[in-house]
Amino acid sequence: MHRISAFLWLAAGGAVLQVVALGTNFYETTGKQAAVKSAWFGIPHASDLILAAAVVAILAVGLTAANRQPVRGRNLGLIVGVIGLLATAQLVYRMTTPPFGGCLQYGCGTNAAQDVNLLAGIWIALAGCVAVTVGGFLHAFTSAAREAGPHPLISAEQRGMSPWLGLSAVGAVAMFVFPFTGFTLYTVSGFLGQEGTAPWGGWLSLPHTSSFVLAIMLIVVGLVIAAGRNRSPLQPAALGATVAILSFAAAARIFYRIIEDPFSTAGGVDTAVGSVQVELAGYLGLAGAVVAVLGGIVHAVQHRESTAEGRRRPPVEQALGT
Amino acid sequence: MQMVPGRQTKLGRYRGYVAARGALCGVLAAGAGGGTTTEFLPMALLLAGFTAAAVWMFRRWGKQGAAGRQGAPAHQISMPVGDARPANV
Repeated sequence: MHRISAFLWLAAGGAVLQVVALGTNFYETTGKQAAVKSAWFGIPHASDLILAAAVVAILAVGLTAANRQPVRGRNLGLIVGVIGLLATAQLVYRMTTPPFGGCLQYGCGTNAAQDVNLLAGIWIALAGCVAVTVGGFLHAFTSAAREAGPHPLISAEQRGMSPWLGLSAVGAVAMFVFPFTGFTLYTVSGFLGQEGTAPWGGWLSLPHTSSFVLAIMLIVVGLVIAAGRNRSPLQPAALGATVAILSFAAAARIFYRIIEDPFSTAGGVDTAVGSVQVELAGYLGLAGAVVAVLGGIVHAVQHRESTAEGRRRPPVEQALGT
Repeated sequence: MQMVPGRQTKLGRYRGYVAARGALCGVLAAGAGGGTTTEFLPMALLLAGFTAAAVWMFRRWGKQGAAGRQGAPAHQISMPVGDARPANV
């Protein structure tokens, strides 16, 4: 426990505050459409970023306590601090510019804040974000962090890169890039009484799904890169299975959003909408996720025998007395 | 271009480079897209880039993987102790 400085404990406390705050209400809108907005539906992308900061901070504490930190202690503190800072900045932006006046992106000015009251939950979240940021950065410059070297979890059996793993990585990138970047995912008519049709990308229309798929893409690509450098934390078969399961979760989520569009329940309330058409980007994203699943499965099956052989070997050695 | 056994052609040597840059161009082109019709070209370029990357991966690591499965532990840097003994033990 001497590897964990007081500042890292501060970051862990901030992470707890962040998680608690995500279960509360953040805004109260006034005027004609007075309502209370929760963290999850009020500012979904900011909530996802706050959750990511909390997860990273808690993982940093847990891995450091177990002496399994994947990078040097100083770098771990900097990573926690940077993600906490991003969450803080996004939350401060959403405190000054709430999204309810149609400002889903940046550069809208502060007029949208006039008809919105900030509730206690958002201040708790801000306190948590600041604690994670300060704790992470200050931990990076403690002697405990300086002395904590990297001890990543690396499997004893490494098989390097395989084309199927590479295919999974390409599929994982495709499942995010096609539906959730600049391409049109939905063409919508009659949304909130608007005339004509409007193109919607996946990033704004499916905030939680896009964050979820982005996280899975990063994990899959990270695992594949680690395997390519012979530093995979998992045995080859387990690695393939993990990639397949994660990609399947993303594929299931994208498939659900293809058959069930989000516009009729936008913001967590029943909303009037005309017709919604899923564009090519959605199907290409789903195809990418399926490719990632298949790549993981084939990699797992190809290396299943070697893993089983590795497990059988110790008793044979014992029988031979070696 | 005449193939020399054991040596790569210029095309072969730069295949990975071309595939990677092709994918990058696809991403940049995708960023410049507008409505659904104008998105078709960047989407096709991106798809071509992903396909080229996948093909390059199979050419780069396909044979290596096959050799590994046939018993040549090309990538085992930290193999279990049992693998280091002779096959007849």
